[in-house]
Amino acid sequence: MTLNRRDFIKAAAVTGGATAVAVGAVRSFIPEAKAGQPLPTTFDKVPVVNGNFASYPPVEKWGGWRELSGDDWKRGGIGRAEVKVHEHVLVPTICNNCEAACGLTAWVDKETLVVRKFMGNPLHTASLGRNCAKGYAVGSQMYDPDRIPFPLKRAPGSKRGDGKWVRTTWDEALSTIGKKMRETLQRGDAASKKAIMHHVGRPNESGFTPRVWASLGQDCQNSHTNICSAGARMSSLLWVNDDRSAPDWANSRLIFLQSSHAADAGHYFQQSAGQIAKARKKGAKLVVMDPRLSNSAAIADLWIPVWPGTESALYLALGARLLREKKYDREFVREWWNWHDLLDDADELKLLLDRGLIAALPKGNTFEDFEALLLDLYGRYTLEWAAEECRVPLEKLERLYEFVLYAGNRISSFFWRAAGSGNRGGWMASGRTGIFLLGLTGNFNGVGALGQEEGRMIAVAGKGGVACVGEKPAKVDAWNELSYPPEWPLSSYELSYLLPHLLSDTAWQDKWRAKGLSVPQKLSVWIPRQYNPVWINPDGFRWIEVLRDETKLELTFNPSPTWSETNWFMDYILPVGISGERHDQHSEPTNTEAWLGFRQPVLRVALEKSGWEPKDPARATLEAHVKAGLGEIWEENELWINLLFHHVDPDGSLGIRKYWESRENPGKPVTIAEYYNAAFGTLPKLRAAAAQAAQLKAQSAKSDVEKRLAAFAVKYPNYDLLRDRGAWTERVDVYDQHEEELHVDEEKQLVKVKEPQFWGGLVEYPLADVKTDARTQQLYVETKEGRHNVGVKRPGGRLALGFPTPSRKMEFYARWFKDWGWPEYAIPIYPRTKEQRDAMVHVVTHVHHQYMTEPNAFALNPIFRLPYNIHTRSVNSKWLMEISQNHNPLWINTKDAERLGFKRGQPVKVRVVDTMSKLEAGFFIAMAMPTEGVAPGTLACSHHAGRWRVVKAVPIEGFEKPLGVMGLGAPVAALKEEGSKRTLSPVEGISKLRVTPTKEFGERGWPYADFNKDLDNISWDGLSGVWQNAVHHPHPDPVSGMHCWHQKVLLEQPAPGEKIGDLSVDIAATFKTYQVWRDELTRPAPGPGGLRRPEHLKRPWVPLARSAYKMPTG
Amino acid sequence: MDPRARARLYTFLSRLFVKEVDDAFAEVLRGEQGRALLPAFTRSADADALFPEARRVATFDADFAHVTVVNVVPYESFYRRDDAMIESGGANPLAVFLTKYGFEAELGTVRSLSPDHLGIELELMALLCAREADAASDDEARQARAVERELLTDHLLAWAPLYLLAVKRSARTELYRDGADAVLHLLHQHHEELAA
Repeated sequence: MTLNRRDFIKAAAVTGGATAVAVGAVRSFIPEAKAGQPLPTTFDKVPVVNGNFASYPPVEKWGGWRELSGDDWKRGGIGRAEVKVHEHVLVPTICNNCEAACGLTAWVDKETLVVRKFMGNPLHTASLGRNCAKGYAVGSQMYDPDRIPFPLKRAPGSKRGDGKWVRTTWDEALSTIGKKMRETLQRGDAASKKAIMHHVGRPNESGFTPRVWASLGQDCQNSHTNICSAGARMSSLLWVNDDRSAPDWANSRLIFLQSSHAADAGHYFQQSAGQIAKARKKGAKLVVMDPRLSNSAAIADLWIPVWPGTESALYLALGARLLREKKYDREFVREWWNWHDLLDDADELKLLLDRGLIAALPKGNTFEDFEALLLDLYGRYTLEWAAEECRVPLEKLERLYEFVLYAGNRISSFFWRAAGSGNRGGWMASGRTGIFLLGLTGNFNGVGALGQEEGRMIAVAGKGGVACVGEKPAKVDAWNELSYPPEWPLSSYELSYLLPHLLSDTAWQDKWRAKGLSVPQKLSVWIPRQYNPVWINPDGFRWIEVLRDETKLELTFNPSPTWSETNWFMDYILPVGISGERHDQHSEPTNTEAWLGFRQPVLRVALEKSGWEPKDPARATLEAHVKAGLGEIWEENELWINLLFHHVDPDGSLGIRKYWESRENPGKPVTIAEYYNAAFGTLPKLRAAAAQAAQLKAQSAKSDVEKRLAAFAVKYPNYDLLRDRGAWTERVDVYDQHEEELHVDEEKQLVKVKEPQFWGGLVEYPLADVKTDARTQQLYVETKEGRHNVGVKRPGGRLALGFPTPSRKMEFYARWFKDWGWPEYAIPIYPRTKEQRDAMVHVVTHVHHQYMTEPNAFALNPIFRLPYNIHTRSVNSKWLMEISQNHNPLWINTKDAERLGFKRGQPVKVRVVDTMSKLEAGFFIAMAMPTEGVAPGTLACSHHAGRWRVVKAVPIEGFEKPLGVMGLGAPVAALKEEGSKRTLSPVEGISKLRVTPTKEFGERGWPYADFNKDLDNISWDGLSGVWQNAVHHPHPDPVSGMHCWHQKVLLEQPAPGEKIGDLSVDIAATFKTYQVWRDELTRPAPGPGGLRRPEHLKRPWVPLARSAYKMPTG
Repeated sequence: MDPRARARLYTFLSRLFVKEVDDAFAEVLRGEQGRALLPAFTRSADADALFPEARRVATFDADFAHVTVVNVVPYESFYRRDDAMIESGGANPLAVFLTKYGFEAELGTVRSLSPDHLGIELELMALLCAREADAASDDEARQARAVERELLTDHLLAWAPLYLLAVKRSARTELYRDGADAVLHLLHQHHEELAA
């Protein structure tokens, strides 16, 4: 029997001595006598919210947050004198490592001005205070021992690539560059408007730089997009004329991923993964379609290892079954697809009939006739056929179909890289057929569905013109054929990776010059902004050829935080800041809100908040970095403003200066505060909140510094709010953008709409002129240029905007595609038979299994990202390098490996061949990794590793130590050339470093040796990677212009002496392949009306005049 | 109850739930405290299994694992989180308390996943009661009792009864059934004293 409580109390009296059994599970970490009492602390306590520790200090304490040193406080106890308390100012910024724009806070030590760590920003409503490894690693990039501390210039008398560098000043660099640009612009002829080229890697900002180039009157913008995501973007352009799709992951019931990209590696993955996890917790299914068993696929409900590039078959077959079983969202299709445009186009219907794609012409022009046509078109796309085409078991597709039915109109997906970037016709294999399936199920812009980017992004960085004397630059009347060559009139972005080919191809230049086009034969200034095309583009040796040629690229400079393979061949390397060292307004459609992030130079902000003031307000970032001991690191915003204002157009005669001249202080360049205060002021909610916050600051200011800061806040409230918060959310729950109201001015009886052209402005029509198409419910106005669809009439007579397409509907049928010479692909389509594949080669992947005729032939997938690297800028982050070594082996199915005799860790010779030109580019040697995690017949080898350098360090006269070159991430390699053959071979791996501080740049010494005291502990040699991009054929997709990354390869055992990392390429063969793809596949301009490109189609970034679209005739 | 006696009781019962019975504790259980506080156990046949070690391990270690690891969960966060997960990170409710008052848990010593283990919370209470007993003034004693009250009402009483009732229902030996009962009595008694 047990005790009752009375007995228990009695018993307690006899329990003397029991303390002897205590095990010591709890102890005090402060002096014994004080334990058990609330602590009188020297540090700030983490607040408790709902019983849990808050992840971040309360924002009102960001100005001074005291925290114990993390070194050994637990061992020492806080009462011990040697335990250090650091007082931080938390400065918000935005990560610059990928495009997701997650929030960061820099914890700046007030005493030393060292950033002690980077954490997330809890005020950022999309990243919610969370980051991936790359975000937290920003500190290791900031204090990278091999950072470039001052502007470098190629030594006079040396050639590009000789590796001889001298230290120069920012003033000298800007003066020389500005003079060259000015001379170019002063010529004023057609060629001069395309003689300067800005070639951006990842822009990570929303509109500032386009204003720079618009103000110069140059069609000079080039981007990396066609080696990234241009294929998938084409599909968004086709369906909804939107740049990219934006899924509502968090509320989905089926997350249907094409590759691992969204969830564990690529675009926005850190933010997406959290939302996907949230949806799964609520019961959502996760399906990953990928030939490789990615991290996402491994935890998915279903992994579908499709053959690369055959995704269209799967999407269409699923859609066909919905059609056969009448389980599609009939009302959505009827209301929002432009079915009527197809039924009204007799020529297109006849073409479909003639090609055997339909059995009969529609009987009439009603929606029911369209439904019959859909069944006719797609009825024969069965799951059995798709299983065979995609090489996946039928039962997986049956299960997927059940998931589709389960999810209804809550299916989300994301079309970005993967199929869209790997394959010829990738634009069809990604969103063009993918959105067919999603559209059939009513999945667009709704809760839990895929949606438009429009409305879910804020791009105001180009709208600071109110702060300048010249508000808005005029549209540019020029067309640069090097970025938009006539062969690719529909390319979704610039043919950027072909720049060296086009500059080398004099026959191509002559051909078009003979037809009256002023094709540039050289560039006077080429600026690869934070871009490393030598390494990341296909056919990198071709880039080296052109970079060395001073007659083709007369002056080159790279605003770049790090060394890179490309920088080795530059005239100038200008060290600009990374995530916490620059200003950018950056917004992305990562959720269903409209939010913006503000990237900031955190040391400058910390200094300013302590009362510091720069000598020259237009160079404040540079001055702050020097003062804080970071080096002569600047930022692009101030760089461009100073370059244009002081050096390109110092007297205003070119009409450029006024766009960067302060309205507040005429005669002076605009400051960051002035410019961004104006830009952010264009957002009404932000403006209201900012005014309130500034008033509060003014009321509560006590000290002189506080009063000064409050006065600043009252003067620049919008800028000040973002300086304090780093992020702002202007709208939430952005859904159904196509249902938004048409803008009607009731008083004036006018309708205000956007002109049909991409670079068009707003136009007003009398309301009485707006007619309704009774059959389609389209609202339209008859203009002298034809019918302008302006919206869609909704039930009850409401006037909605519709989609931003020519028809204001989702374009199942893209009439403009037909008009521009691609009628057979104007609808979502995929060949069903070998004969059809041969006839429709433009939408059949160049690595289709029908091309794998040799026993050792494989389709190589090189483009999956590694979640802890970003293509080039993470090369010397010690933390990211430590966790990313040995991570680009060649994934090969175990059965294939056994058949060909490859074992784990051994070298494999990978010969790269092209299925169009039939030419062999050369070979690279990779490390074998036999695995069940890759589909038989396919290979995977991420192209995110295999960096190289040619020297370990560069001596700089006058500086006390040589500058290290990518010492933590790139082995030393030997490059050789013989005729058209180029080789690279690693000769020495990465080794330990000992970092000693310099006397220059402050008391602490550069480059913060204390932070790098652990570099005697490097455990990686970097020798397992290979620079495979160099051996890749350039494969320009004939429609989107996307480089189709996948390669057909032949595997064999290496020859004696060949080792992992070796490569050899014939740049004559790769050049020929570019020509074959161009000449045999493209359908060049001019299009209807003699235009170079459809006017409604996106063409970033510089606004063009309509006259620029007109193609000259010789 | 005298705070020093209360401290001893908490210590004794903490020891019971924090790790398996070893030689030293077996002696205590067989001695005066064991007999006084766990009479049902002392009179049961289970008490014969305290020695030798092999028999003790076979009898009690399995039951210890059963009521603290495998089938019943002795962590506060398990009972208080909506998703019934053990919070082993910084958001642990007891970690907040510990930091606030200058304590830390030695998780390795007791092989605990997180600081909100019953054994740790009981030992912490023992330390607080000892503080009360050592108080140099009434004010200090009052302050100490305020901290005890916070630990008792905000933590132990919020979840431990649920756990202890589950142990009473499912323990296979009288040792843990009786021990659970004793903890319930102690918490109840302590609560009444603090409320008085």
